[in-house]
Amino acid sequence: MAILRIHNSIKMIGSKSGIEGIGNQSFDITLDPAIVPQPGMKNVAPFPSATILWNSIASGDPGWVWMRNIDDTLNIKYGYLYAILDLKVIGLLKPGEIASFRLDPSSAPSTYFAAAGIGGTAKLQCLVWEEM
Amino acid sequence: MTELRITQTLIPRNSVSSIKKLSSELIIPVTTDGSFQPGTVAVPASPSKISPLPAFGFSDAGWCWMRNEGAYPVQFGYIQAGTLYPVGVMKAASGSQPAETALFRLYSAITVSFGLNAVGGASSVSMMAWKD
Repeated sequence: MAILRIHNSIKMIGSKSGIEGIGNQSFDITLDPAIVPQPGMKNVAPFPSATILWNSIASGDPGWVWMRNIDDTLNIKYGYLYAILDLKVIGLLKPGEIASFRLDPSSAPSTYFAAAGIGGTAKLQCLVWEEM
Repeated sequence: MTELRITQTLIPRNSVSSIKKLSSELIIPVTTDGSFQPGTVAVPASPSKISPLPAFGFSDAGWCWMRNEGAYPVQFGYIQAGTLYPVGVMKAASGSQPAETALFRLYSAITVSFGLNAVGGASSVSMMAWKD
């Protein structure tokens, strides 16, 4: 059985406030052996246009998404593509930054999950794994 | 200087030959103005805006780590006029499997546009967020 272990961690360091924020957790997802991971290097269109990141993920297909902004200068935003020129943005990737979370499968991600470069076409590395 | 150390790792287990280990570490400077926002958010089984981020103004953004602390999946995404456009979801803990997390940078105007929704019953989420 193919398993992907996911570890998401965030920690505040160097604080003099006495407040220490630590989020740290590992968990597994069981992969669908019939589905290979969908890797991609995408050139994402400049906002207000947007680029759908995957084309073959149907509704009900749960999957884990990992993205990294590999553009040298441009920021990338992403979210729910409601209509042409209507990207409902929740997240931002500065150059070099990553994001990691489970895509919501109540709608087909291939119809809504999209990203856009801010100020120009930007390069995004993105992978998604489908779960059994 | 106060910084965030963000680490994200994907480790294939049981010889998943088509997948390579992915690991990222980011060091992000953050403000020291008290905008670190740890909290537990009650999530009703209907779309609702997040409320534990009073230090985040309209145009603020920042890194966020969330974990599902309840018994039902929690969707997150863009909320508008009471409708949630879900982008991601976190599964609840089940058996030996820990609860899922999400790790990403929140986009600006997050206090008016970021929503949560528990699926099947009320749940809760622990959340940490740092304003840029």
